[in-house]
Amino acid sequence: MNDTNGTQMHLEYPVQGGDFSSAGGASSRIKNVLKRLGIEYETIKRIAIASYESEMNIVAYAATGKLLVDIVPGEISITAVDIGPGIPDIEQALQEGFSTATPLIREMGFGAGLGLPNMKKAADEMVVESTVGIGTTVKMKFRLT
Amino acid sequence: MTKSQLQKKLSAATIYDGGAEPDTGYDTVCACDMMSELLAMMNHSCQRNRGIILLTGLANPQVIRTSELVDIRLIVFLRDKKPTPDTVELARKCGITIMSTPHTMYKCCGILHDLKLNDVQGENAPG
Repeated sequence: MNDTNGTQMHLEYPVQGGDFSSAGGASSRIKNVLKRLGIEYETIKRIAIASYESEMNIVAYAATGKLLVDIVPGEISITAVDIGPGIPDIEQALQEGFSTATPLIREMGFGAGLGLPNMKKAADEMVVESTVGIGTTVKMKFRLT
Repeated sequence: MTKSQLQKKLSAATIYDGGAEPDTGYDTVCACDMMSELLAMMNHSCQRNRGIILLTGLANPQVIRTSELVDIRLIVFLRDKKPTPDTVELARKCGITIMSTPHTMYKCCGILHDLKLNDVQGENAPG
């Protein structure tokens, strides 16, 4: 099944910047909710990948943030909102290989400049809005067919 | 391939056994140290219900979390890497089997390629 059977839901998961020990926990919970709703495997996989990359971005770069999940018939959206340094050049950040990751982030297996490109590939639509010194919001939509 | 067959072929030690094996056995391999690279590969693969083995030199909790999110149930740490206790604990919570082999990534890939296991992006080993 790849629809929500009419279910509408709004969920919020806080994500703490710098907390690598819990990183990925919110995305794991989101994946479990989608499994319980009976969403099709391929869609869950795409959402899990995009959600996890956005969660890692908050942990790695921001002071704090949250993942918002909105489930409506025919569509699921994930919005990653953070309070952090912001992205000065969004186009550059969307290029594969561009990274400002610290050695610590690289030790975790991230920071290869694939996060935002991975999110864009996984989602059907993605919009990045950012203000330097304030924070970043990434909205991703996943259509259920 | 079963877990015990894999353990023998790679001279590996099981650190934690996550329980049930996939119906198909483990028939697909992903060799990767970068978790974003792993996510990119999994985004392109159509490996539903396939048993995927992850070979990696990285032995921290993010490897377990990444594997959980893309349904990888068996991880082999290379060159005798020993995961930290919090990594083992997360593997236990996620039901993911973890092993450690003395071999390098190159050698493990060679062994599993010779055994005709599949590439994670869908390309079969020549046979």
